[in-house]
This record gives sequence, C-alpha cells and structure tokens, in this order.
Amino acid sequence: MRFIVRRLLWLGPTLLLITLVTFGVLSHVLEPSAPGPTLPLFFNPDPGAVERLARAAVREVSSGAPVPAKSAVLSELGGAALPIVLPALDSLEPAGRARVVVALRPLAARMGFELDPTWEASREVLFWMRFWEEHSIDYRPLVARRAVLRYADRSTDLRDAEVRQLDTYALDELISQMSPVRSRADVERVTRLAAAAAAVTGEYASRLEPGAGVEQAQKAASGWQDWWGKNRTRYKTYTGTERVTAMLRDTRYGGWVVQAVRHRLGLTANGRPVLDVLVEGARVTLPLVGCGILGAVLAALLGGAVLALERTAWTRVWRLLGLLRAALPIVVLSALFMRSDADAPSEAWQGGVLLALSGVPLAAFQRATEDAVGRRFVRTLRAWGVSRWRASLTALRLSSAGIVVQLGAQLSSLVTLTFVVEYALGLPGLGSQTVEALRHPDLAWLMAITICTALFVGVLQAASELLLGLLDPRAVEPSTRDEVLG
Amino acid sequence: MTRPPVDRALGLFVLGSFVLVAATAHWFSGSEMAGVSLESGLSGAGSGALWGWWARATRSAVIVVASASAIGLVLGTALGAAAVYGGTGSAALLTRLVEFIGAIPGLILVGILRLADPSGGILSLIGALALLRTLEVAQLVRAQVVTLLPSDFVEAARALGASRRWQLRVHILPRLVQPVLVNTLLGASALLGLEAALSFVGLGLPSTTPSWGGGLSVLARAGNSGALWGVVASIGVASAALYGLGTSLAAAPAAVFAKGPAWSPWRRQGSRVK
Repeated sequence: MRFIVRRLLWLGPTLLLITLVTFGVLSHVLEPSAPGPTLPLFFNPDPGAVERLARAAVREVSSGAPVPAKSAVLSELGGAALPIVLPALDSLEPAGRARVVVALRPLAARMGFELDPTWEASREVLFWMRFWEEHSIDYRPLVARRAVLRYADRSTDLRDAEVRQLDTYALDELISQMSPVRSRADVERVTRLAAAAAAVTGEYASRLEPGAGVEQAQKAASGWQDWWGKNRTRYKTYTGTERVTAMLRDTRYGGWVVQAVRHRLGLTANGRPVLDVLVEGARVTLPLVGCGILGAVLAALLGGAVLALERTAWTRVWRLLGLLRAALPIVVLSALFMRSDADAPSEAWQGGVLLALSGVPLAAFQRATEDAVGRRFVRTLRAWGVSRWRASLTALRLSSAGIVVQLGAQLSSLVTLTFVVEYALGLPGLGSQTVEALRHPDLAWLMAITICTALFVGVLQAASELLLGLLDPRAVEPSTRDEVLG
Repeated sequence: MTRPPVDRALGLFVLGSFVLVAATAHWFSGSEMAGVSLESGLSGAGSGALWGWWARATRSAVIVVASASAIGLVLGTALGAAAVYGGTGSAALLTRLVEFIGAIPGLILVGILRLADPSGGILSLIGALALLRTLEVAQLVRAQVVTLLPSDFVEAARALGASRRWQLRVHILPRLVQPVLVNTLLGASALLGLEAALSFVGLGLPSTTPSWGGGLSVLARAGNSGALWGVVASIGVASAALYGLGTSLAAAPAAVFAKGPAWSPWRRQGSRVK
C-alpha cells in the first residue's frame, strides 16, 4: 500500500514537470506569433513594471533625445504612471519638463482636459502641477475602487469624469468589477465598464455593443480579464506578498494556469472550453482504449494457454500469428480499413476491432505467461503427472501478476495507437483533435491533453500496481518485487 | 562451425536487402523523381516513378530507424550503467525520467518535440525517436546490471580483486549483449511502426521527403490499390523481419552471446586482475 501511495504522491511533481517542459517547448514554438508585450516564461523578477517604465520614459523624454516611442509609452501607461511622472517634474530642468508635458498631451485629451494648443509649455507644466496638488489623493487604490463602484452602479457626468481622470489607474478595478454577469443589470454594468476600459486602453475588440445579451457580456468580461492577465504587470506596482505572488503569476506560464482555471482548462483555437471538448472526445477514445486492453489481455491469455499446453503444432501456429501481427502495425491496418471504407463513414466499432487486433502489449504479455510456464513448480506439476490443461491453468494464474504489470507499462503506447486509429478513421475522439493541434499548434489543447493523458496513464498504472498487490502481495514488497516480476 | 538457424538467416537477408535498396536509392530515382510534389503525385504516378519513390522511402525508413536505434543503444547503455554505478541518486533520477517520459504518449511527445524544430527536418525526428529508445534501453540495462551484480561469478571475481571496470567488461557487458540486442530489434520494429504512424498523420517526415507512412496515407485516400499493397508489404516484411530476428535471438542460448572460459579472470589473472 505504501508503494501505491508513494506512486500517487509522485504523480503530482511528475505532472508539474510535464506541464513546465511542455509549456516551455510550446511557448518557444509559438512565441513569434504571440501578439503584445512578451512576459517572462516562468519567473518574473520585476513584476509591476509601471514605475520602472515611467521613470525610464521621463528620463529619455526630458533628455531631449528624439525618442517618440518613449513619449508614446508615457501616453500608453497613462494615469497609472502619473503618481511617478508628475512628482518627478519638480526635479527636471525647465526644458526637460516642457518636453515631458508635451508627451502627456494625448493623455490629457483622454482624461477629458481641453488644453489650449496655443499654450506655452510652462503653462502646461503649471496645469499638471496644480492638477497633482488637487488630485494626488485620488490616485490611491481605495479611492479608485470607490470611484469605479459608483460608476458601475450608475453613470452620471460626474462619475464618468472621475473614472476618466483616473485613466489606466482605474483599470484593475474596472476589470475586476465586470464579474459576475448573470442578469440584465449585470450586462448594463459590464457595458459601461467595458466602454470605459476600451476608451482608456484603445482595446476595442472586447467592447460591448448596446443591447447585448448575458452571454455576450460574459464573453466580453472574460476577454477583458484575459487582456488584463497579460498586461497587468505594465500598469501596476506591487509590494509585499502581492509582489511575490506576481513574480509567478505575471508570467506566460502563470497566465496559462489562470486561463486554465478560469476557462475550464483554457480555450481551444476555435474558442470552445478545452474541458468540454475533452469530455466529448473521451466518450469515443476511452471505449477504444478499453477495446485495446481487452483484446491484448484475451490474446495474451490465449497465447499463454497455447504455450503452456506445450503442443508443438499449436505453438508454431501461435508464433506465426505473432509474426503476422508484427507484420501488420496499426498504421497499416488503419490504412487498409480506410481504403476499404473510403466512401462510407467510419464507425467506432471498426476502431474497436482494430485496437483489439493491434495487440500492442501482446508480446510483453505473452512473455509473462511464458515465464510462468517455465517456472519450476509448473514443471514439477507436469513431472508429477498433472494433466497439461491443469498445468496450463496454473501457469495462467501465475502469469496474472506479470500481465497486470505489463498492462500498466503499455498504456501509453495504447493511447498512441488509439490516436492513430481515430485519425485514420476520422473518429471524433481526442486523437483527431490532438493531431490537428500538433499540426497547427494549439497551446491550450496540447497542454490539456498532455496533462490528461499523463494523469490517466499514471492513475491506471497505480491501479495496476494495486491490483498486482492483491494478486500477489509479494510483488509490492521491495525485497521480493524484482524476484516475483522476473 | 555451426550454421545460424534458417529464420535468423532469412531475417538478416531481408534486412540486408532493405539496407541495400536504401544505399542504392539514388539509382532507382530517375530525374523525374526529383520533384518536391512526389508524395502528392503518387496516386497517378507510373511504375518507374513509384519504384523510385519506394526506394527513397525505404532509405528514409532505414535512416530514421537505424539512427534512432543506434543512438538509443549507445546512450541507453551508458545511461543505464551510470544509473547503477552512479549511486542511488542516479537510479532515482533515471526512474523519474522514465516515469516522466513514459507517462506521455509517444505521439504527443514526438509531436511536441518536433514542433520545437521549425524546419521539421529528419534530424529532429531521429532525435525525438532516439530519446524514446534511450530511456527504454537505459531501463533494461539498469535492470540487467542490477540482476547480474549479485551473481556468484561476479562475487567471485570481486573476491579475487577484480576491478569494477574489469567486472563490467568481462562479466556484465557480454551478458547484456543478448537482451539489449533483442530489445533493439524489437524496438526497431516498434519504431518503424511509430515513424510510419507519425508520417501517416502528417507529423513525421516533411511532405517533400518520401516516407512509407506518408505514402500509405496518400495511396489509401487515392485508392491506388497496387501501390498501396506494395507499401503495406514493405512495412510488413521489414517489421516482421525485425520482430522475427528479435524473437529468434531471444530464444537463442545465452552462451551464444556471452563469452565463456576464454574471458575467465583466472586465465588472465596476471595482466587483468588488479
């Protein structure tokens, strides 16, 4: 029992390692096509980059170097950068200060300030300094939260203006207040919040049109939460434990974990929750895997019985059948089935027959029976005059432990064969979806299928060990394990 | 001198023939075979073109299976032996690694590793298949070495002062030849099927490289029964030859592989035993 528990406990770290390695490889492959700013892969040593980005932008812009990109950064960071940029104006040279306020013009327009274009820069500087004297108190999390809650509750000119002035500083609250979406009132709230967020960020893809339903509102809220997951680190400053959490969360891997939790293991390339597709596919795949196991065990028992009977002619026929099976790998059988039924839709039973015939673990299973036949006590039984059939049955019983071990060891191969059969026959199982996801890389699906198959194989292997312990308790004792299993 | 059994000779002959075809594939392929759309044009190809395609597909299969098996054999043996002689940490690491790799179905594992190579070339396919073989061979070698170490003859050699390297070279390695060779042949048979399956579903060799699996897929869809049966026969005969040779060697007495008294430490005591 301790052995089983240890095996199950090891499953957790193994799965974690599998997700890390798979994610690392897939991210490396998909990186060039990923839009937007790139987060670190597994660890973000400097989460909450708004302060660093804002200070760098102020330094570059004020120095007078022709860096339009840095001016754009100031505008993009928006209200979230104001608590860093505006207090820093005092410490700049007048010329540098003027350049910074010029870079802040798009932000001022977004915040609803109508600055006269004929103003001199010194007047704009004065405007921003007065603004900060009066409103610096608003740029605190609790104040921002209150402003957003009031805006979410009902929209008035004053409330709109409050949220607009906070600009990107209010994004965290704007997006977190979008959930839950259950009723018509929630839809209206999300519509308002999404419009405000879109105005601040320029991300109009997830904006909700008036008259949208609950489902559309849920999708929009979800879209904004996904966007925030990827971009949060640019608009935030973390401290304390929140910073430690953000070091792991504000990464590409952390983003995938959050997505997997929020969207039922993530979303496939066509936007469906991965878990739903997995459940649908498993209804086809699991019976096929079952057919494969059943076919292999029955063939092993039959082969074992034939060998144990020690009749030369039967043994030859059986070995010939083994050679024939080796000569017809599953891919060949699948191609032949595909050919013969090219015009007719494939049925799941055809896949079941193919997998039952595949005899994946047959050779290994048969070896377990052959080992049992060769054991001394079976030979002793024969020497005592026990009939061939009786000795054969004894050999089969003795080989059951070996068969169970092989069952666990061969599961992974069986899953591969099942995927090939599904693809060849066009069965709507997990295999077809996986092959498509490998051809046109779909990170969410590949991560999910890797974890699920590894979990499936791991749990069944533990179950086979448990069964082995029941069949032959000596086999799970470390001291006798190797001896019993050969 | 005894002659090898007929089945082994037949298996070797068949495998040798495939290797010969692979080595001379460029003679089969005429100038009309150099096009990149070879596989897609298979369904309507003439017999000359089909023969050329078949020879080049045979070459691909031989290269992939032989390379992956050879790499797996060398690395697996080294890794397996290191897991025993390297102490409990190495053994535990190997066990975890095998558990890790073994938990992921081969199709997904090879598919993901192939994605890491944007060119999708033959080398990454060989590398991915070799990884699977390496871990399988390593597991086998470790189990065999662990079984052999407490044997009487190894104990005796140790008592006589034989060094660890000497024990390994004289007693352990010769006794590993049979199981490892058998495993390599049976593994090569499985690799042949896996490579064909990968190419069949479009995850194996690039579409511009002829392969048996890719050909199966194209011909089965196109309904070219003559060529299809040719590919089926090729895969079947090669798989059966590898499998038959493997099972035949498995049934051979261990003495055929392990050196006997000529390797005894007592005979070479003066020069070998330290």
